[in-house]
This record gives sequence, C-alpha cells and structure tokens, in this order.
Amino acid sequence: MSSQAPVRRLALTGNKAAARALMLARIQALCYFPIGPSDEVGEEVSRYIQRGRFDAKLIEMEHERSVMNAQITATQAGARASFATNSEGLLIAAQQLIFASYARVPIVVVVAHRALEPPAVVRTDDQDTIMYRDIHWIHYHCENAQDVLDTVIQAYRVAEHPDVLLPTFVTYDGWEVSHNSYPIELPSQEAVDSILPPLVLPPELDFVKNLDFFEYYSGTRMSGYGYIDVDREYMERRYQLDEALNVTAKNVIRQTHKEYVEAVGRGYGGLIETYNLDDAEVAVVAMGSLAATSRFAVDRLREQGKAVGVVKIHTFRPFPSEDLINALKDVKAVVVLDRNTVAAVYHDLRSALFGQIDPPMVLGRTVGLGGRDVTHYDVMYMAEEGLKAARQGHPDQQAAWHFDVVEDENMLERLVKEL
Amino acid sequence: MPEVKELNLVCMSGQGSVQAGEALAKLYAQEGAFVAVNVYPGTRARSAPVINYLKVSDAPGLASCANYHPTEVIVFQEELLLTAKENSHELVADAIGRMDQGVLLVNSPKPPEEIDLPYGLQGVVATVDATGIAGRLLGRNPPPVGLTLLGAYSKVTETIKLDDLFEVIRETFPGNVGERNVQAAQEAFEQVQVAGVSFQVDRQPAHLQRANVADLPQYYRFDRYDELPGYRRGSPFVWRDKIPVCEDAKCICTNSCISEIVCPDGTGFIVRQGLEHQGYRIDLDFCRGCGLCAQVCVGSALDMVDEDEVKKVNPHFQSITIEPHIGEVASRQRFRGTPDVESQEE
Repeated sequence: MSSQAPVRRLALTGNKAAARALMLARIQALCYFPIGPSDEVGEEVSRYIQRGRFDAKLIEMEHERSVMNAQITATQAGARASFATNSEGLLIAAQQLIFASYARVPIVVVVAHRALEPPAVVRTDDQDTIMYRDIHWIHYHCENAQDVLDTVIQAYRVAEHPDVLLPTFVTYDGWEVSHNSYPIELPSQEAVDSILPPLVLPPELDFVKNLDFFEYYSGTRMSGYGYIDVDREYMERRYQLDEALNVTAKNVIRQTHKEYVEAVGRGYGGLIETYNLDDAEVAVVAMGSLAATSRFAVDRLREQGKAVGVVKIHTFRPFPSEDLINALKDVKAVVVLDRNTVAAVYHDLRSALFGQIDPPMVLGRTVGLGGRDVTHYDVMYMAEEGLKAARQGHPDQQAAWHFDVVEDENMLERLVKEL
Repeated sequence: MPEVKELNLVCMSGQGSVQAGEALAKLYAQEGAFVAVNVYPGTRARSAPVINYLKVSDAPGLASCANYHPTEVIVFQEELLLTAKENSHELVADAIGRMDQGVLLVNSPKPPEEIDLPYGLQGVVATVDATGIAGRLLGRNPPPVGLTLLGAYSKVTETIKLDDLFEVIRETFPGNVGERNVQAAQEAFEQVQVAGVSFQVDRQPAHLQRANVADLPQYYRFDRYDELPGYRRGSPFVWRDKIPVCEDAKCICTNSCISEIVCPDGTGFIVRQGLEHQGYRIDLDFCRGCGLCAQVCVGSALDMVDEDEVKKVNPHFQSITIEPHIGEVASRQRFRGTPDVESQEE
C-alpha cells in the first residue's frame, strides 16, 4: 500500500477521456461517422451536447471522406473541429488527409488504432496510421486514458501554433486503451483555457476572410496558401512544410509540454519519455500501450537486478532523432517493439543512430499484430534477448517477429534458458 | 512489488460485461486503487465472446495485457463453461480455464453444487439467476446482466460496497433505467448462493494452440466460425429465441434480396425456381436470431417468430424447408468460393 492517503479518482476509458478532452478544448464542431473502436468518442461528445454540458455543432455525414472534408472546411472557417476514426475510415479519407497537411489546416484527428483487413480482425495494431507516416502529419501515440486526455489538449495547441499549422493524429491502441478504464485526474477548465486560447487562423489561411467570389472564380487570385498553388511555388511550399514538421514542431511540442506541465502539474513526455534509463544497459523502446507494459516488465527485471530501462516515443512524427540519440548514448543494446508490419520505429531509429560514434546495437521485434496479446513476460523475454546481445557483443537476431505469447513465469524461465 | 489482483469477466456480446468492467473500474478508482480493464471485443457477431481483463493494484503502471491466472472470474452465461471445457474457443478457455483457486461467479439458476466445473478449483463457486432477474426488470434480449452480477459479486467477495455500486449505476444511467438496474443488483445481492469447492480434475486445460507460420495457407479461410459458442453445428446451446420466417406470398422482390445481403452471418439465401423468387430461407444451424433481415425486408414478408411456436406448428421446421442441406451448400459456396462436390453429390 502506498504511504500517501488514497486519492479519489474518476475512471474513464480512453475514448471517454478523448471526448472529455474535446469538451475541455471547447470544440465547436463534432464531425462524426461511427467506426469501432473510435465511435465511442463521438457518442460521448454528443451525449455531453445533449445533456447541455457544452455547445457544439454535430455534423453527421455519409462517410469518413465527407466528414474529414467537413472538419477541414469548418477549421478553415475558423471553428475548432473534431473527428475520431481509424483503420478503414482513414483509408477512405486518404485524399483529405494529404490535402489537410499540404494546405496547412490545423485539425486534430483522434484515432483508436485498429488493424487493417483481411483477415477480418477488429483488434489493434499501429498499421493504420503508420502507413500515413510520410504525409507530414504530427503523430502522437498515447499509452493510457490519462495520456490521451492530456495529449488531445496539447495537440490542438501544437497544431494551431502559427509557426506549425499542421494536422495532427492523436492515436492510442484500440480496445487496449480505447476501452480500457483507467483512473484519471481531470485538469480544470481554467487551466486548459490558459494554455489553449480560441482558434485564431493566420489571415492567409482564413477562408471566410479571404472569400472573394470574383477573385475566386475568375482565376485572378492565383496564389493561395494551399488552394491554388502555382507550380513555381510548389517545391518551396513542400520545404516549408517539411521544416514546419521536423524543426519547428519539435520545439513547439517540447514547449507546449512544458507549459502544460506547469499549468496542470502532470505530463507524459513531450517527444519522448524515459524510465529507469540512467544506469541501464539495455533500453526497451516502445510506443502506445506497449510502453505501459514495458514499464511494468522493467520493474520486474530491476527486482532481479537487471539494468533495463524504457524509452517511450510519444511523437512518432516528427521523429525525435536528437532526443533518442541523446537518451540512448550510454546503453549497449536497444530493443525496439513495433506493433506494425513494417517495423517503422526500428528502421527510423537505426537511421537516426547510423553514423554516431559507438552507437548501441538495435534489435527490432515486431509484436502484437492484430491485437495479439503482449504480456509483460513477453517484454521481459525480449529484454533478456537484448541483455544477451549486450553480453556477447552482437545480437542473435537483428530484426525478427515475436509470435509467442509468454503467459507466465514458468514459460518465461523455460524460454530464457533456451536463449 | 505490489500485488496485482486479476479478475476476468467472460460474457457474450450484448450481456454487458463492458459496462460492468467500467463500473468496477470506477468503484476501485474511487477507493484510490489503480485499475486497468483490457477488453477483448466480440467480433461483429451476436453471441461472440467478450472478455474483460481487470487488473487492480495499489501502484500505478499496470501492464496492458490479458490475465492468464485470474483469482476471480465472473461467467455471464453458464454455457461458456462448456466452451472452456471443450476448449472450443481458445480465449474463453484461457480466461476461465487457467484459474485453480479463487472465486467463480456464474450466472445460472442452478445451485452452485450442480455447476459442472471445467477444471479443478480450490475456492468458492457462487451462482445467481441474473438472466431471470435482469430479464424481468430490464426486459431486453439478451438481458444486460453485467450490473446485476456486480450486486452478487459485492456479496460474495465483499471487495466493493453495494451503496457505492448503486451510486455508480445511478450516475451512469440517470432515471428509470438506473433505478431498475439498482433493483436488479439488490435482488442479485439477496439471491446469490455460495458454496465452497475443492474439486480436482486430472485434465489440465489445453494450452493455447497458435498457428505455426509454416503450416498456414497463404490465403485466408473462413474456418474460425465453428469456434464461436452458440454457433457450432450440434451445439447444445443456441443464442436465439426468435427465427425469421418468410411469408412467400408477400415476397415482392424479383431479382435480389436485401435481407440476404444484410445477414451478418451469411445464413440467408433466396430460393429460386429458374429466375423466379420462391422465398427467403435461413440456415438455422447458423442463425443467431438478430432480426436484421426482418427489419430491412422491403415487402415486410419476413417476420420474427418464436422458435418454439414454429416448431409446435411444424415440428420438421429444422433448418431448410425446401431441400435439405441446400443451405450448407449455399453458404459453403459463398465462403469458400468453390462448390463442395461431395455435398452436391449427396
């Protein structure tokens, strides 16, 4: 039992936490098309609206593509809008996703990951947003309901920053976070208002202010901030976009996180978050709910006297290369857990570490696809693989798929002996 | 290292285990404990298993995974014990079948001594007829028994207080629905029967058998349907009380049938004589009685009728009225893409 007096907390699922965050962020439009496991977000927000907790316009449309168009245009008209979708919904909205970043529309899309079909599964893996890693969106990966709540608020702040103006995914694992009840501490509305002022778009992006029908339809208005680009500006625009994501956004995310921690007194890491890493020999790098499981596993390993730490990647895009290089400079081996088919984090981390002086070994493990269970025993097993690589100076397998579910201590013991 | 209490709620979709899991999480969080509820969702089908894996600890930072050795299990439908015993659904078998000591609460009208345990257990078996209570008070099919069972859980384990539970229920469902749920939980609290057991079986629950990558075919086959409870050929338990019956005279469509398209389990098919419609039939071995087909039928030809009444009138209303096994052939053709030659010859 902890020494402090028990704190009475509210328990919310990841989806309900996202809905609560959208209410705290004072969204003005709820653009909604249901797709599980994200559907609960829209349901919960519409419940708030119905019960008179706050006022927002509910926009229901026929599919995700229209909904995303509604969100983009609502934002361009100066309203803060929300949308929650996943997997097949994102596939339908693909064109709008790409338009949103290239037109610099600061929208936030809440995604509860779901694996892509076929075979038909509804459980989780990261593949649905990982496949959109190259279209200049900001990707946040959250580990639990509290993280979701805090991140949605920060995401609006970052996206709407006048130097950033980028669309943002706030993602969390479907079912494992979205339907996972977790004790929550709610920030006050005043604290949220202090760090999240009402949306003010720069004049060139504000559709209503720029609405001049003569110019618009006669073609005399040839240079817009994303509408009608002339080809001589195209490459420069892409450069601005890339710089906004990979340089400016990183600083803004760090700064916003700092401000949020000051205002609310709690934070889950800006770009990355480290745990027990100071004297660690092996680091486990993970995103989403795998980070929570990894922490639990690392606690168990530390009990056995094994020096293992955790690095949680909070923003997958912009990829926090400098922070990771800095955090991992003293460890001997890194075990990267990827919940996607392409081992995206593994490859990005290897690219980041390439050319550094005495870089750590990187072991990539693809785990938990299609919602396959990843227990803390699994993470302990993979950390043992990392420890073995650190001992012998080279890994047995550089990148591999981890299929088995290690269910209990006996099974773990047996598998570790076989290593 | 703080201890983590593990509790599994095993139900079939629609019975309210998610609601129960959220209510339990709220109750534990109010007491200052840290809690995580990992949900295994039922996959797009009525009566598909839904499992909530609840972890409770005094320290933050809980793993997000399933519980393989729970100390408490609530089973929302007695037939799921049979599923665990036969190991016909691996996750249900895991969620129930790994417990060797602790508390097992079963939704069943039987006294706890008569429960057929699928595995050895040192501890307590409790039963309560939550379906009866919730069915009477809440009136839905299947009755949402989650919050009702929590009343019984409160009595058996004494880890949650009944008044706190009532408060949470009223907060979640304001108004009449909440009051009825409170009444149901109260009745379950009073009616639950408890018995201590020390039951030994030699047979260990079968371990999870995962597919070997090398053995898998390169294409995807729809074979897993047989694993779902209430969905197997010859299963003693079928989750339905009403079946769709087509009044052929009212059938007005000439080419395609919307009811056939919407059936989530692919059980419906049109009987044709040449190009003419003769009506709509159901493969009753696979129908779950969800009633979607009757809702969308354009000519209102389909009606959901009590299965017992149909069988009273026509005891031979087994699966297909026109031709035996035509449903089997039809569904096989649809799922597998190629007709099964042997069945056709039969």
